[in-house]
Amino acid sequence: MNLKEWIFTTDHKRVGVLYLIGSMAAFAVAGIMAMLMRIELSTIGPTITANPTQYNVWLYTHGAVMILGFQIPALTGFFANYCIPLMIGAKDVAFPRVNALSVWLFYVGVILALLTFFVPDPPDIMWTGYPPYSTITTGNTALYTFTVLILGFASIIGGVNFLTTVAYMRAPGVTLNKLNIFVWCTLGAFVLQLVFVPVLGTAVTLISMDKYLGTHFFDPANGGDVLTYQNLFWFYSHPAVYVIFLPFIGVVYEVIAAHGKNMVFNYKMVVYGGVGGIVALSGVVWVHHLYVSGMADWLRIGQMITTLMISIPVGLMMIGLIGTLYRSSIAFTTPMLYALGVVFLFLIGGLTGIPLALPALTIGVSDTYYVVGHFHYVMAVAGTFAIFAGVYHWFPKVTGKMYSEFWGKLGFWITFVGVNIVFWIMMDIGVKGMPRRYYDYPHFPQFEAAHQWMTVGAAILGVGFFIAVLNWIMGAKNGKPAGDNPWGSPSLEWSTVSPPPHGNWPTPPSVAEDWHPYGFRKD
Amino acid sequence: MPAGAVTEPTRNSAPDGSVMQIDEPRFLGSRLRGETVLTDVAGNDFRVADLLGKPVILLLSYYGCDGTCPTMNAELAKVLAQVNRFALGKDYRVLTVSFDARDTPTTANTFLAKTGPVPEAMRGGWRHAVVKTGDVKGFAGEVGFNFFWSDAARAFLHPNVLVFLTPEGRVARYIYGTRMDARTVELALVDADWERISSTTAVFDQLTGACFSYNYAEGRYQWNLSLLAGVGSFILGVSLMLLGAGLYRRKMARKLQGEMHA
Repeated sequence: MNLKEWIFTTDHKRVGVLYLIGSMAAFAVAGIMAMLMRIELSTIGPTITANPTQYNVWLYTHGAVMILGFQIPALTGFFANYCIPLMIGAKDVAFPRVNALSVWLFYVGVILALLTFFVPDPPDIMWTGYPPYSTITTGNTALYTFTVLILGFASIIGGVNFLTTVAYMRAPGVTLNKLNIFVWCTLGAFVLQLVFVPVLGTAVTLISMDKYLGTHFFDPANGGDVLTYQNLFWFYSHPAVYVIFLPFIGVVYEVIAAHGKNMVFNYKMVVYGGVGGIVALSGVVWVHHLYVSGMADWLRIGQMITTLMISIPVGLMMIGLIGTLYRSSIAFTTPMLYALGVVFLFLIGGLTGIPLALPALTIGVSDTYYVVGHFHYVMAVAGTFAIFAGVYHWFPKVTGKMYSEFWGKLGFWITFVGVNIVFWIMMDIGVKGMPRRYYDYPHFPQFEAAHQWMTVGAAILGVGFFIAVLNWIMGAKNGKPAGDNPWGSPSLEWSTVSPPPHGNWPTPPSVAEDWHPYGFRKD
Repeated sequence: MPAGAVTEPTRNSAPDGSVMQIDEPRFLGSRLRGETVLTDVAGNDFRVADLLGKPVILLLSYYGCDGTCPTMNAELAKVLAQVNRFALGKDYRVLTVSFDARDTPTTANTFLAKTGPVPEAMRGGWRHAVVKTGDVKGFAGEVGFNFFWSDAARAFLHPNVLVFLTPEGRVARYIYGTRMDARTVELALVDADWERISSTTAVFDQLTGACFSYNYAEGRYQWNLSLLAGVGSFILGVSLMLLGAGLYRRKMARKLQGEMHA
């Protein structure tokens, strides 16, 4: 393997794999941070650190790296890069060099995030960076700002690239109504990135200006508005939930259709109602993150309604998944297990989110572990399971080899058990009053046993993830040849050899008039 | 005794500069009890709570004042005439209350005669009153307003401030100084009424209100620059998306035309 070729590659598949390697490294770092927090919380009083700021640094790193370094890059970096050109029958993306720049910027962002461990005063401002704390802390707010700006810029140029690619580079016959659901979902995510990332970029730049240049954008004593930051931050960061959700649910569609050998249920409903509805509504629900920050009742009630409304397109997407499963030939392969896991976890996360949409209930559980449990179910864990489902699903295409089903399934079940131990207990003690973001909890001794169970659960799920990653490494090295289309899918990425050569097909592919990426034979 | 004359000053203390300052962090958001009974110039009694339900501009003066109090009242009348967005009486009310326990409806009338009567159009929404029962100092203290008698000046020393109350009677904003302008008053009224959509145009009022933030250090409203920067960047993102979509449509239309010609 020539390292220089990989670093300077403009091949979308290699760029995708670079994204995967970087995001999995980020996932490992974020996981270690989570484990350190869980060990610290396993007893009341100092367990492995007596420094609360150290705990804040772990918390910051875990949140920022999970979202900005792992989930978004894995979904819109690896899957989009690897799969979209193949799914639309293109030989590469529209701007291959811009694509290479995007992955370099991603690595710069990840390195900046990892500098947290080496700078004297690391950022301790969570991934939210709320002022006034972020503007008065001795922690390095600039590192946070530059990490966000670099990763944001990388995602913007990636978004432009993929929208152009899908618009102009589809193979003859691959019409808009024959695009894979994953392609539609990713396009929706990129539209959101392009529209909303500039707002986040502005907000985090202004906090650094307040801190280092003496401006007063968020200083109420001098005419600034501290709540504006929260509004700007969540104006991006709630759509960012859909930037994660859309691609991951797209991956799950691909897996369930291929491993159930079934046509996607009500394709147009999923695309126009589901993806379109989410894109249309995602920018008008951010206020539900601020119910307790102080706002007018009319705004609270208005955004409660929009928040409940967005569950309709999300519900349509879930109906599409369940409908696709109905009367399908389900093969309980590893990717399918992870995909079914996503359906289960997302349902729990989605249903426990409904009370959080209602101000009257949210105020009771705000800033408790209930919220933490909810968003881990709905976004962190469901998203991660989807990434694992996707990596297993396209593993034969990427490597040309097959992973071990035994270790794959074992890893899944271990992870599944661990996840539910951690996050179910989290929601339970949240309802009972355990506040979030606490380094220590001497006033809540009744929750110590629960914290210990969660630490055990975290260790279990860590083992499960470790088995999965090891399975990929061993499969890539020693796996049996997988063949070009082990799942028997008509989707275009399976029509070329595994792994695909540079340019993807020896000759440009063309599709028959009755072709459809989910047109499985029923005989 | 001439109306408004001070015969028995509420003798207090040596001058204390801190009296002129209102502890804003403490009193912003605090709520008037509303049970204080006032008597207006016509001799009618009413409770403070009777005036609530709409934003209220509370002006604490004393009617024997020949300094800033008449100026404040006259200036406020002038500025309110320029406030076009809200109608006095319909959308908000004004209440001038004396903090001098010796003031009566008669002294209030004399004061009005001296400063110029409230313009006809404003009479429905602006009442001048004195505290009938209870503790004047306590009433003023509910909004953090302190005052004291100065033997040297033979006058009360007090802050010159408009107190903006929400419809529920909470303190929403203090605007200081004898010079005021209509935009500041309008924005302070928006701040006082932001929890409600009281009319179909109120949404636009709230939006314009959001574009300004209050600078406590300088005591004035200024553009909310962080919000404008955020909105600007959002508009930039949307514009670039629309530009891209427009270019795509144009190219596709040309391609289609080319195919039809071929």
